Formats: sequence, C-alpha cells, structure tokens
Amino acid sequence: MLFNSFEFLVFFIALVIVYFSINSKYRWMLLLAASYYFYMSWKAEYILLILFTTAVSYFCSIWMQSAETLPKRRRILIFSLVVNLGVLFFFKYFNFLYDGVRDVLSSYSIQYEYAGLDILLPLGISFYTFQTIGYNLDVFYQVRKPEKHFGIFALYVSFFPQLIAGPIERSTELLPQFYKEHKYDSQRIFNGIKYIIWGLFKKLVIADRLVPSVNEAFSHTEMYSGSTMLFASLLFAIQLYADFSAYSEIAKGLAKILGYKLMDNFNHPFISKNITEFWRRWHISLSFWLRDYLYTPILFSKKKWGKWAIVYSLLITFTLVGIWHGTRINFVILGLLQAVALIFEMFTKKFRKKLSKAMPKGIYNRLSMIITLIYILYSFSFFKAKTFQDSLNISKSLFSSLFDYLNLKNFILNMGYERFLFTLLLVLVFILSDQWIFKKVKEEKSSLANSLILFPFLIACTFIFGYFGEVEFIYFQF
Amino acid sequence: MDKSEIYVQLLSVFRRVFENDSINIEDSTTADDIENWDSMTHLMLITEIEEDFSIEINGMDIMNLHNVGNLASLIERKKS
Repeated sequence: MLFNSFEFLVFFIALVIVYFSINSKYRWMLLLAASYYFYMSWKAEYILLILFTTAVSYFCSIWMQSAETLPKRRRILIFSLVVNLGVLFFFKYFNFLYDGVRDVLSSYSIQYEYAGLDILLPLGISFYTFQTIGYNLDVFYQVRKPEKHFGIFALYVSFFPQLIAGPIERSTELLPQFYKEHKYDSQRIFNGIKYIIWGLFKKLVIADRLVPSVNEAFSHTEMYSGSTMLFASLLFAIQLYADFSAYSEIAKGLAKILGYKLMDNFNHPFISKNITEFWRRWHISLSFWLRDYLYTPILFSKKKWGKWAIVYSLLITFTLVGIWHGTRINFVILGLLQAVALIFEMFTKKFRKKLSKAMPKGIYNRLSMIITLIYILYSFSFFKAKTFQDSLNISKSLFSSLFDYLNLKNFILNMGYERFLFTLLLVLVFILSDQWIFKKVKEEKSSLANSLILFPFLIACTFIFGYFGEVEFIYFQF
Repeated sequence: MDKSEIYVQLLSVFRRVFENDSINIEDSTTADDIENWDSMTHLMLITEIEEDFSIEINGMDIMNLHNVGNLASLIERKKS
C-alpha cells in the first residue's frame, strides 16, 4: 500500500475518522493496529520481524536499566545490537553472500542452486532497526529511561507514516508524543494536507516523470557523452531529491493530521556551499543518527589521536553508509567520496575562510555552490549506475566528451523532443519555486490566496501532469 | 571548585579553542550559538578541558552534553 495509491487514501481517511471519534486513551491501540495492517498489506509474515525487533529492544532496555554495573549494561547493549544488526545484515546481504558462495562453488564445477533461498528484503527494515538501535543507545547512555509500555513502544517502532523510509525519529522526540492527547484541530489538519499535496506533486509530477530519461541514460552509459551523463546525473539528483523529500513530507503531513510532529528530513540541499552543509540539509534524520550513534562514539573513542581521529571516524562512518546502501562497490565509492570531501573541508576550513574574505562574497558563494553541486552530481552517478563498469564509463565520458552537445541533443530527441522539453519545463519551475512553496507549506496560518489558489493549483497540476503508475519510492529498497 | 570558578576557566578554554576573545558563554549556550563549533573543535574543546581541569570525559558523558550548562555541571561533578 503506497502513499501514492487510492487504497492508501481510503485507509487513511477511515483511520482519521475513527481516530478522532474514539477516546484518546485508546488511540495508541488504533494506531498500532493501523500500522501493523499497513505493513502486513505488503507482506504479512514480515510483521514477525518487526515484533521480534520490538521485543528484543524493549526487554533489553529494561534489563539494561536494572543492571548494576557498566560492564553488564554494555553486555546487554551489545547483545541487543548484535541481534538487531544481525537481522538487518541477514536480510540485506544474504542474497549477496549466497550468490558469492554459489559462484565460488561453480568455479570448482559444483552446481548448487536452491530457489527457495531468494530472500526478499523486508520493507523499511533499515529505518525501524536504526530507530530501535538509537533507542537502545539512548537508554545505555542514560539520555532517557526505558519505555515501560510495550504497546506504545511497539507503536514507536512501527508508526506507519515513517515506518518504511523515515524520517528516523529520536525516541526522546517521538515517544512522549504518544502520551499526549491530540485534539481535532481543523487548522492543523489543513496544514498536514498541505505537506501531502506538496509531497504528491513532487513525487508524481517531478520524480516519476523523470524516471524514463534517467533510466535510459544510465542503462546505456557506453552510448552517451560526458555532457549527456552530466545532464542525466542532474536529472537523477532532482528525481532522487523530489522522490525522497516527497516521501518525508507526506509522512510529516500524515503524522501532523493525527497530531504528531516529525522532524524535517530535507532542507533544500542543492543550495549547499560545501559537502558538510549538504549533509546537514540532505536526509537530515540519517545524518543526525550517524553523527550521534556512530561518528561521535568512534571519534571520542580515539580522541587521543587528535585530528586523525576525525579522518578515521569519517572514513568508517561513510564506508558503512556506502555498504548500507548496497553490496555494489559503487556504493562504497559513493560513501568514500563523501568522506574524502568532508575530511578535505575539515582540514581546509581556515584556508577557505581566508579565501572567502579575499573574494567578493557573492562570487565566492556561487562558486562554492556550483563546485559542491558538481561533486554531488558526480558522486550520485555512483548511486544510480548499475555496475562498476557503468560508473567507469561515466567517469571516462566526463573527461573525454563533456562538451559533446550533439550527443546530448540526440538523447533529448530520442526521449521525445516536445514531451521531454515539457518535463524539463516542469522541473525548472519546480527548482525555481521549491523554496518559496515549501515556505508556504510550513506556514502555520496560510493566507486566503494560498489556500484558495496555490494549493488547489498544485492539486490540479498533479492530476493533469502527474504520473499515476504507482511507482515505488526509491528509498524503499534500503 | 564552584560553578563561577569553573565558568572563568571554561571561558578561557573556549576563547583559546575557537580563537575568538569576544566569545561569551552561559548555561544555555549550544553549538548553534558559536561559530565554527563543529566536531573538530568539539574534540579539541573536550581534550583541552580534560587537560585544563585534569579530568577524564568518557563516551557516556559526551552523549549527555547538550549545552554549556551540562558541560559545567559535568566538570563540577568530576572535580568534586
């Protein structure tokens, strides 16, 4: 059941009606049942995994609290982390390891094939696992006390608006909200709907309309020049941003209607002036999670190394981010490219500050933005390319045929000239209006003009120009 | 060591680490209030505090630092 499906619309409207009709002390039960139903409509048996993760994290945190010594607390924490990460690792990498073993065996002429072992990755497993790990670490570090109410904790792990692809919510932020009474408030509901309208526009009109051209370029990297691939990388970056930020904003809107506040996950990342800033604006909930639960503990465990501790922690953190995205070498390179840029920025901070003072501010800022964007586009090409060979083709073409405009023109002609130019026009309007519209979406009280013109206009555009083929959100695969 | 003594010493550490003599700190000061307070300066700040106050700050302490007030209380606890 995707957010962009009719089935979900019926489910959510029915839920909202029942939610505000019943006594608030029973609402957690309704939300938990709805969240489990939402998940089970995809693959019912995988709900057992969520239940297992929930139970392990719940009991370990209570056990941790009652442990008298730090070593004992640490052992319980490690147990919980091993179990949670073990489940994640098994489902994420089993097929990869299985294929590896089969290939090694076949090189010794041993044929081994067992179709029953093709394991489907459970939706949202990374996101709810990150959330439970964060919770266990919060209890271990005594940032919070363990949650006593199993049902509320189960709801925290499975809250359907953000279950599949985040935002990854901190237990200290989301859990207390399940204890508050959320009264029916038409203004808040309208504000939630604004997020959903904007999210659906971004998903159906921008992200899904870009799929054919992006897929065409990245499926035939050997055919296209550097200019075409740079252009395709730009389209992919916009597609990924529109797709992922759309999911986050729909999640935020759905939660808001019910009375819950989720964190902002994106903040116009492509206007960043450096990669450090980019990671504060892109997939913010993951960046914060990595900072608090991975990077900082690694950094301070090696604090005697001084600046080298930074290099070490960044390399480990972003290599793991790469591996988390998938088993392809491309993802490791994607992670390492981020780490290298962040290390470079960390060590050149003073130099860059001097440089910014020596140049006109406007020029320095614009140059920084362009360089950052090009670096991001290049690193994203590793994300989208299917194989390492494809990535090599892209890298080679960027150096050998960056100015081959004829190839780019042919690519555009092949995609259907008028149709493609119209998609580009929509994208351009989106880029230029993104910040302005998002500001209107976030306003607690909208003006009459925005309520009667802007949001109905976005709905009309979505119906007229949207792609209604129910394309899955990109980050569902992680 | 009382809180006001801690603050005097802490302020000199902050000014040294951030290379800025106009910095002022209070209980509610966070990383958002001071320019260049990133993970590198945070690391330098913690190691300088450890040396200056002759204390050891562990991972558990680090995770519970949300503002300068937390930091001053931590130092006070470790010194007592």
